Amino acid sequence: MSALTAIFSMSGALLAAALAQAGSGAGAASSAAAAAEVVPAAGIGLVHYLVVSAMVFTLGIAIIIIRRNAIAVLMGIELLLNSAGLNFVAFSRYVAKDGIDGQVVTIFIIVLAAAEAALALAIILNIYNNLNTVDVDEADALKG
Amino acid sequence: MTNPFPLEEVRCILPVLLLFAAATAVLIADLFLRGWNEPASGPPKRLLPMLSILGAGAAGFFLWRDWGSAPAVVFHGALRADAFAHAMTAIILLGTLLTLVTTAAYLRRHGTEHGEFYALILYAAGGMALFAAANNLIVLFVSLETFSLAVYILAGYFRDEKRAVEGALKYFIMGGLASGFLLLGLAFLFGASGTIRLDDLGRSPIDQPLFLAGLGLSMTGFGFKVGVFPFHSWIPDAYEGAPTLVTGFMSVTVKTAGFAALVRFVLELSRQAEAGPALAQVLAWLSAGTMIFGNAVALVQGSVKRMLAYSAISHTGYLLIGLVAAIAPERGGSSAPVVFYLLSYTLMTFGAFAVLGSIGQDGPENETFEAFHGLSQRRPLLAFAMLVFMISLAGIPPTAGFWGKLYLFREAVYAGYWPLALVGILTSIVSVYYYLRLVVVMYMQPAGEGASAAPAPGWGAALATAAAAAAVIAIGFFPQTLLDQSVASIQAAFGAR
Amino acid sequence: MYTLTWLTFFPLLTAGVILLPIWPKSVMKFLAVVGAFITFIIATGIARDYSDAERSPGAAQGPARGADAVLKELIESELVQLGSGLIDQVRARLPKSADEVKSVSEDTRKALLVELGKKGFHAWERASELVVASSVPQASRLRYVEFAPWIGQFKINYFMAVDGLSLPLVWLTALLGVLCLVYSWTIDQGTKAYYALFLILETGLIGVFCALDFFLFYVFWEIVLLPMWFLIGIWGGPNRIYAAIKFFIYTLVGSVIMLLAMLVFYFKTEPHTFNIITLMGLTPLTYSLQLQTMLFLALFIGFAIKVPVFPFHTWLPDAHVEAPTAISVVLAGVLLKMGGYGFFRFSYPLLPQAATQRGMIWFIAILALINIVYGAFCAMAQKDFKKLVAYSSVSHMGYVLLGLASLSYMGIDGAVLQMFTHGISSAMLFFIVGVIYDRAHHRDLDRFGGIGLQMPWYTGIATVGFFTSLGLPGLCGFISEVLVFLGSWDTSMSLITTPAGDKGLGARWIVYVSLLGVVLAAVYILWTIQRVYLGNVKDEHYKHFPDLSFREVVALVPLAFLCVVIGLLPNPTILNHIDPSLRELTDMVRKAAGL
Repeated sequence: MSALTAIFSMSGALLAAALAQAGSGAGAASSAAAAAEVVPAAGIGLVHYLVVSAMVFTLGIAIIIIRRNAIAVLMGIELLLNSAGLNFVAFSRYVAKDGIDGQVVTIFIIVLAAAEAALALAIILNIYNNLNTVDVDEADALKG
Repeated sequence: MTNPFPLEEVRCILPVLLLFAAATAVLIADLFLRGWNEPASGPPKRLLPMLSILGAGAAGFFLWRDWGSAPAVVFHGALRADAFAHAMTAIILLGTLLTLVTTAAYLRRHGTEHGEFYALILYAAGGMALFAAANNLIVLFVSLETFSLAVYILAGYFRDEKRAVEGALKYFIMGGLASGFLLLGLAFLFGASGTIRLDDLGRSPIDQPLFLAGLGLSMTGFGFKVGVFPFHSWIPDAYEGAPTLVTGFMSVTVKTAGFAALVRFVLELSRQAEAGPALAQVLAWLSAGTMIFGNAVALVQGSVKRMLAYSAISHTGYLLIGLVAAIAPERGGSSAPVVFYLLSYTLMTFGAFAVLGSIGQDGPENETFEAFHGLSQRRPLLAFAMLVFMISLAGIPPTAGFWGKLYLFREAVYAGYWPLALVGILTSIVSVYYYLRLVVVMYMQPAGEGASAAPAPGWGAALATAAAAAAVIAIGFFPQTLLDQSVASIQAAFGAR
Repeated sequence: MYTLTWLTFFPLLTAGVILLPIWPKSVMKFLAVVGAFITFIIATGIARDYSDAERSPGAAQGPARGADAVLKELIESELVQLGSGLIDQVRARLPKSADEVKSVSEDTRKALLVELGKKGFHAWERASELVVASSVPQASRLRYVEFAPWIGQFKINYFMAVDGLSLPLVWLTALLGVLCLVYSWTIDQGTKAYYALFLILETGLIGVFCALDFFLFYVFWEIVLLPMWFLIGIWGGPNRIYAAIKFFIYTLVGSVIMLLAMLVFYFKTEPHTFNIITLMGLTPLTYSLQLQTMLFLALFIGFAIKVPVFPFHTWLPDAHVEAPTAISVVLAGVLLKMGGYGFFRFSYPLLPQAATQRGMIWFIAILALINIVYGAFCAMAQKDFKKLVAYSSVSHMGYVLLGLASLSYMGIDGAVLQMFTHGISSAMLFFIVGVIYDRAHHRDLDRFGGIGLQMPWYTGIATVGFFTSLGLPGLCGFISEVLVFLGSWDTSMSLITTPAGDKGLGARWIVYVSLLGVVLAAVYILWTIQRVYLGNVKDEHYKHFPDLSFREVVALVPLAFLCVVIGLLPNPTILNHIDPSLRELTDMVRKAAGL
């Protein structure tokens, strides 16, 4: 199972790298100053953030698909939101430099993720009360 | 420095604020009433539905007062208060009011009348109204989550029922997945353009690959939300598990809100020259697939509730035609039929669920076709209302559903997508079979073993059902005003599309 | 005045009144019959005024004016709505004739849109539609015109009028409405719903025959479908659900195919329009023959299912056998005519070239032949009285197709008259079956016998009905059948028999073989009379059968009277009034097809 997860995240990372390459290319075309900042001296740039974000996103998807425990599935969903948040921050830093819009979005994402988690735990508690398990495969009264 | 909180712009979101205020008021009132009010249905508790109806009604009033006002971008570009947002908010309010009027007796019958039900409905409605007007990515996402969370809870509202909690869990997982896709897509769009404003997204210079990736991911997210094949899988289960009237509420309002944002999103983004034709092509395929899949699977359902769920999927397919028509490169249709169709869809689908909720207690045994046998003898008016909704859903004249479909198909032909119109017409014929199957059992089969008890519907349910049926027929004969309004709303908000 | 609107919607109004929960059952029935009777009076009034107007067209005033004059006035009222500046501009650009409208190019239209603005351009479009409509020759025959925009978005108008083609059918509908409601007095389950549905059905039927907007026609067509489905499915015999669903699916498929054809008409014509009269003026020359043929076939399927034409006829016997008597009467008497009417009103005038091409004449004539002969053979093989009558309908509707295919004056007159007389005779036959079924509770022809001795009045009237159906001279069936045969055989005009190598196909044999239908009709009808009414009383019960009751007399006698009167005096009663319209129609089609 972990092997499968790894494959998922690897492929996601490759995809993101390709996309980010294109993204940085466009950014470079728009202004020379931006080009200088896309890959700063320390060697950490937009591409790196995007790759990490893509890995987190793919992991999230993989968890939702593979894990049967409802709480783990919830964690997968949280990962999806966080990967998007990471993207927003990174883009905010590297693409839209004179605003903090992207970072504000991330704050909102964090708040909403918390709300979503609280709600999800309540639903899972109800599932447990009714079925005595939190295995999503056991919830099969509905066809599908 | 501009005014950080322009008070005069509050007018534009007054309906939303009123909905949230009413929801909060209901919660607080419930707190006070709870003490001297056991068991659940004493007279003071009747105040809660009244209060919530009042809140929604007040929101409707302020909406009406603003009707036809010039489009405005308010709160530093966070919201667009235009005719399209008004129209969609009106349809959402209609669905909300119908739900609120219908549910009181229904909840009492199931012994689960709690104040938070009404509060959640109102919160959801407020979130949807914001969603329809959202003009930046923050508002888009926050309002989406606001109403989604409320609807997840509502779906699992009967928390002692296995079906309900299971449906809610599946709904939540798929909804979370959809949010994830949408959000990542929005992040890419932000990255491609450097702006979080929707209207700027369509106009500013962009980075092509990131933009397309973002568009694809966010369309997937929207696809989940409105139930486009192949992202539909949660719909039948969530619809079946949820309390019947909640199903009615979410099938109409969530779809309306989803399409409101989708139309705005697609129309704004397709201003980017490269996005339009490709997006139209993809949406056309999705539309055809959804129409075919929804109708084909609805044919073989043994449960009326699941049949209506698949019918809801198929109607998503019809609605997508309106989007395709609006962004197709040829001389152009309009997405005005989406507005008209959502209105008639709200009336007929909620009406159908209201009848389903009125014929007996919630449970699989009252959702079969057998439960409807001989309904015309037991409850002739209820059966007649269901007949009206069914022929309207099937698109047989003279009903609102017929004009809605015709309008969509016509726009498709104008946009050069006549095969899509053809698929629509052919699948409509197929749909006649399963909609009228219900009419056959209601009118032509005697009541047998599994027939539902069909208790007298409360006055609220009777009122809402009768009003919806009357409106479906009235629109069927005189659609002109509403057609004009839908064209006007699209034109005022987006120019000629 | 809105005479035609009153006529169309009076039954609906009556249905609304009787649905009020304040009437005792008998009062409710009485009100329904009164409502239907008032409808009949209005229809009779229109018919009388129409024939007066037809006699002296110049003197016609008020609603009886021809549609050409009315439509011309409408152009003015369309323009008056524009402001004073725009009105002259639009008027200056307005085409003067149909040909001019046809020749307006896409570029001109775009230029006009810029010049006149959106409002002016739409007014220009609507006005030029009316210009075309008022110049179509058939328009002068249309009277009692009602014209109002209904749904501007789709350019659908509320356009109603009657002419010699539709008026007999409208009148027949109103008449049968009264008779059937009286006959249905004994329905005691769900009486109110039955009466209300029947009245809604009547509104739909009258609307179908009066509507001159394609879309309005379609809406009425569908309004007919639903009540009929319920009437068969709820009040029918043991196998009613099967029959009702079969009826519904056949008709629905037909109507959707028709809808598709209709939309093609709409989109292919500039300016887009559903107005049939305008379409008549615009279509013939602007459509390619291939497109015309496709449209013709699409419309043909839609209408042929209703007629019904072989091989789409299988729903008919089922529906008839299961339907209650009065519903069978309307089904055979009026519903089948919707299909025939469609051919005359839509297929031929809108698509003359497709209709008169060699293959199509063959096709229709052969189908007519099959209908006539195959229907007659099927009728002969039946043991079920009602099924026999149902198949005789299939056979008789074949004559309508035959007359239509000939496209000669006499053939068309005969075909339209055949629709009318078949409406009378088949209605009678179904009443006759109903009378005996109410008493014997079976319809097995082999178990009857000797009824004539027990029920002399009934037998007498039944004989009139049967002989009309058989085509005995002196009764109305004879007139129409003779006209159809003469018309289709007539070598100077008939497209069926014109010598091969000319324009037609020279298939005189089709007419000869069709004559066989008359012989076969004589066989099965005489045989039926013999089995049911003559001979020994086969069952003791039959000796106690009472003769006709009052409501049965009311249902049967007027029809018998019509059979005789039209049979003896066809010209003053009906032919003189319908002939001018039908000649106009025939001429128009032939001219457009270059014959």
